[in-house]
Amino acid sequence: MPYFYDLEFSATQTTASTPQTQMAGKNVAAGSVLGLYGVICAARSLTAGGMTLFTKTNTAGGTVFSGGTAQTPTPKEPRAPVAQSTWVNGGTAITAGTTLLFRNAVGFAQTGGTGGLQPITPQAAVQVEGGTTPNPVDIEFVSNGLTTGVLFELTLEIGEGL
Amino acid sequence: MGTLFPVGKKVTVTAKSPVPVAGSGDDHTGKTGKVRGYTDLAKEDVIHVIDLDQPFFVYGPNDPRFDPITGEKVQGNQVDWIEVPGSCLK
Repeated sequence: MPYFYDLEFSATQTTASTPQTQMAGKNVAAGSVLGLYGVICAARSLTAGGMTLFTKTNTAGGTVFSGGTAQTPTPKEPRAPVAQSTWVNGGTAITAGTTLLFRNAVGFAQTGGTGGLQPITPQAAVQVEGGTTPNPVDIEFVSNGLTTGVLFELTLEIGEGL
Repeated sequence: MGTLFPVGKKVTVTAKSPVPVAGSGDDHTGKTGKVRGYTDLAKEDVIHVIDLDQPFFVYGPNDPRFDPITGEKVQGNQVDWIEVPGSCLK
């Protein structure tokens, strides 16, 4: 069974109709396989409109994302070990990776209609392996929306080990 | 390959990273910690993940810096680890 963790980030879509990397994660060289078990987005704006959050993976051979503010995943089980994978949020600008592959998109309403996804089984999760030559090399979350300055909450649920 | 410190090794940051890395974008010179692992072994200057002896605090773009009721300063979000190239460690 995996160890499960969550990460929450109070994000901002700062510029209308412009993709913006909000969170990103990567495995350490000797890490267990990392799975994405949940994405939840909830916005709070007075302006009606649509937003999307893309999950992208970075294919081996490309440059790994860089920058970001370090964020430690919180274990669901209080006695679980510290997560091996490393995550950042957009509190400090994240420079996106270079060979990104769109994996899925979640839609949500700027005025508060929540959007999200959960894989139907652990094996259906988007996964990032450890090792010295993983493929993909990282996973990135990119928002876009129709209005400037929309605040939204982005929650990720991850597991390590399958 | 550049300098590679073993996992568990106690290290000190000696310089600001010349490349963008996870952390907070600030200069972490003088901070100490232990090597947890590596995030990009393919680079000549291997990026080390350092678990800090003393975590520090930062604010997210939407985080309040002061409590709206008491006016007291809010702590911020805790940063437990940073990435540092091997060339910026001793």
